[in-house]
Amino acid sequence: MYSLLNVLGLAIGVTMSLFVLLLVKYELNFDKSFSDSQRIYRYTTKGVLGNNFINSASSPMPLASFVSKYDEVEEVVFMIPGANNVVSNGAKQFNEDEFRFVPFNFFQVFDVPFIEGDSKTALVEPESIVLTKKVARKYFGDVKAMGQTINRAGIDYVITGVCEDLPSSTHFNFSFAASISTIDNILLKKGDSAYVKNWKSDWLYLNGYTYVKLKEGYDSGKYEVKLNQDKELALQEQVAGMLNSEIDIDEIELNFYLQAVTSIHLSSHLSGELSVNSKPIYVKLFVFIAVFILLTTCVNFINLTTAKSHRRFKEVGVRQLIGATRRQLGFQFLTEAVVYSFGATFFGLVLLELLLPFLNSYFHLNLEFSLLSGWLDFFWVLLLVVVVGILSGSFPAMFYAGLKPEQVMVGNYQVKKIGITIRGLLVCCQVAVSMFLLIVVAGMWWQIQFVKNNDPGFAYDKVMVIERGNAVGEKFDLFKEEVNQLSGVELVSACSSMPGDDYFHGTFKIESGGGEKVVMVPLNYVEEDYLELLNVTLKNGRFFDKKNDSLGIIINSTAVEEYALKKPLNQTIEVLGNKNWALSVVGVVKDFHFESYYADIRPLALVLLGKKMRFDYILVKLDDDYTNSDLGKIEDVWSKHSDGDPFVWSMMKSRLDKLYDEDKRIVKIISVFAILALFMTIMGIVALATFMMEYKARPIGIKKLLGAPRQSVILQVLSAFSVYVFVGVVIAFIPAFIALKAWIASYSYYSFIHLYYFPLLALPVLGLAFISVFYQTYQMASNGPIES
Amino acid sequence: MIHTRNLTKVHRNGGVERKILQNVNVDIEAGDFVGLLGPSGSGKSTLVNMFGLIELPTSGELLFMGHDITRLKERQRVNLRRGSIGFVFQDFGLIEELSVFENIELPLQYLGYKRKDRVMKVNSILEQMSVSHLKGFFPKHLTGLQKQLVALARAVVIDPSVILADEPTGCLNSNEGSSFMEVLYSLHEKGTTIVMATHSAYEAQKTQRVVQLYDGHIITDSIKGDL
Repeated sequence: MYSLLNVLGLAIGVTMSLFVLLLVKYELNFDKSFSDSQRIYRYTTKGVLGNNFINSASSPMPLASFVSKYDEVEEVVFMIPGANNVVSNGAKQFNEDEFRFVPFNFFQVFDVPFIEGDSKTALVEPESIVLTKKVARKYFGDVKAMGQTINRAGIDYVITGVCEDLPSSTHFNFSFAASISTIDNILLKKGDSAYVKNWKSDWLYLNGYTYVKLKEGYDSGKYEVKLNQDKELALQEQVAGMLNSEIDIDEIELNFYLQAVTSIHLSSHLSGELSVNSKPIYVKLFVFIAVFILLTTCVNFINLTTAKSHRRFKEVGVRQLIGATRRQLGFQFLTEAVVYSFGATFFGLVLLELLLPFLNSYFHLNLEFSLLSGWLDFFWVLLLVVVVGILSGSFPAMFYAGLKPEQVMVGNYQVKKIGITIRGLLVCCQVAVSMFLLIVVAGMWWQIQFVKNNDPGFAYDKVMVIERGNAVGEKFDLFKEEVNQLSGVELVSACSSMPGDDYFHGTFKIESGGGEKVVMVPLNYVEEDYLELLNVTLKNGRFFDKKNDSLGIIINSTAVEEYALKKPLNQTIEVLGNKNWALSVVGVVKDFHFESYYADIRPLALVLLGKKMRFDYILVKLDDDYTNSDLGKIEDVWSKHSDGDPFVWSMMKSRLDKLYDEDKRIVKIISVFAILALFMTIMGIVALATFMMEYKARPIGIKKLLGAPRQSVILQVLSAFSVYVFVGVVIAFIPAFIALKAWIASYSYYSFIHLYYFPLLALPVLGLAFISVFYQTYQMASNGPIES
Repeated sequence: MIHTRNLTKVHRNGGVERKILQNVNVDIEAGDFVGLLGPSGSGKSTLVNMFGLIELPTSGELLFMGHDITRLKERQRVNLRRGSIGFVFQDFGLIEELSVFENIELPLQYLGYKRKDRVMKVNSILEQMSVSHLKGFFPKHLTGLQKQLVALARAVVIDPSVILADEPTGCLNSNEGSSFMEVLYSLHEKGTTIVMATHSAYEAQKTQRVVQLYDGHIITDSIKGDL
């Protein structure tokens, strides 16, 4: 039974550490599924425009053709993410936001296996498209998708290929890859050929993502330097032209940097990222947790194996007397441990196989483990077996092999004090790590609660967000009027960007501090009632009046401070390069978090939505008594005015929550492992207590024979190991503080957990430690002297 | 076979010295059946341990089969012990996790016997001890006598030069004790050298020669019939 428990503990430890290692492997293998991933880079844009710093994952379209001339470049790909739009196959239509426009050589860089079609020619023609397997099934079921057409925004795309779904460990995703030559047709619907030319040649418009596959053997660093020297010439003409020589050219500077695609997931946190990326600290934490769990498992195994050592002393002695050498005994115990480890790993693998679907779904992961399909995995598992076996077996092996036969013959089974001290220190480390994880997790949850509950400066509760609001287009006023009359509805409005979105940046010329400045400001086109609906606080002036404010602009307090606007009201802000667009400030609003808490509040400009302007979202403020049938009625109005476009909506609160999903997911994982670590530490404490009771059995028996009361015995045993627990708890405080500080630094707005929670968090650890050993101690103290 | 000259053993614990054996001179020859008789604390178990190359003397000389034990390294002592000394303990010293057969087989494994030879030797000794029927059993299923017979079989299976038995009947009842002693006699009659520590004068009398110890000194050393 005792051995079974020991193996079970080892198996759980192995399972959990394998799971965390899978997680680490997953995090470290982002974008490595592409054959030449080591040679693929993304261009990022860094620069200055007037007072603004640009630090973006996106880049301008002309960059792609500019870089293609270099000898170092094997392939270059410019990818434009399509806006959220309806895609239809007859009656089947869905809102899709993973639509990408890519060049014909896209699949030569990102080699996703093709199921149908030829990856080299599929995207040569305009209006051709490649679907992923999942999407092909969604639109065509079991019918062959190849050669059929789908429609998006009035354009029929011919399906020229079906490819496998992209692995989830990729920094971007796509469901549709349409030929980039199609965008000419799309742009021509909005403007003339000059507009198209301008759109495609504008160096200051970061409208897509440029990827490059370098030829083998070329130094990316040298190439990057060369590119940034050469690009000046290409840029200068446009910049000079745009500024009309009114402002010094030095105020605009753009540089392009190469970023290895394999490094994006862990280290890139730029504006315009294609997905929420992770942080290196998480990988470090996961590795730490995996190693800790494995070591704790081994330490517990050692303590539990040697805790009942007296049972094996006799055996060891007998073996020595009948001829076993130390080496043979050491080998025996090491072999036993490796066999245990093998059994435990086998159990662990079975457990992992059974638990993985549940863990994947609980933690929103997509981890895969295939012992038999990959030799590498098999090798690592085998290595794990040997490492666990040696780690957990070496100490018992040395311990037993080091016994001298005369100790056995004279019945001297006393363990040396150094043995107790070493075990105590190991448990002390376990307690320290558990405490560390507990504090870190508590601090993380504290911050998660802060972002959840903190007032962002606008009212988001009961605000319904309808996607692709533009589907009602010019009928918006009608839609608004009808919805406003529905029960459960307080107010309706619309906007082009939602809090947390990547905002479009407007470039303005502004009178500031006696001179002129060119500034890039996040810009949101909003409907008249937007600010009222969100209950944003007005500081100066007024909200929009749609009859008079077509050239009005509302800015936030940070804009006023940053641009040193002494009297902001009625100040003119000119759209750069367009003197006809001289906007006048009609109001200043108090700062609100229009981005996540990761970012500092920046200047913000709100401009009134024009009649024919495109907007993405309709906001409906619901009252306290709204019912599901009210939502159904809103859908009915939508269907009436949107020509049957899909009605896709969410609550603003859940959209905002999603901004922190990655952190929440990781904190959830770490929480589970912190609890597991605590459990394993408690097991370690129990093992240590068992060992100590064995060690102290004889003196305690004698003391009881002499009349020692029960409480004195209990106190003696508890005090013997409590020093290790206390020290473990205390030494965790500083590393936990440092780790939390490092993690929370990714937020611009945070609330650091109060320091007095550190000792408070120690209470459950200490409590659990004492409760777990109290029963054993009490039983021992209650035994008669002979039993002791 | 075993010769001691002025053999002395002192246990030191902190600053306190305790003399366990003092100036012990004894010669044990091949084929002897020697009873070491003495009360608890007289030093007989320590003497057995030294004969078994487990403990080293503090001073004096101990020759085992011509080897000066004090000059041997631990590894050399282990090598010497495993081929030439069989041990029998008061509490049997059987390994609970191993069957009777495996317990007896164990020293042969350490001596590097091949599996086929081990099986043959173990079966032969089981038969000799009349315990063949027990070979699949585990120690916990055996009576005291059966356990001690198995322990004896394990000691004998390597054809030792000497069998050292420390209070071998201490955990047996009187009938079992007598039966066990009969087996020891028969082994001795076949030429096996036996040294048996006991506190029982009755059992000691049944040996060929009795060495009586008291407070670490040999007080008598007599051949059978002298007492």
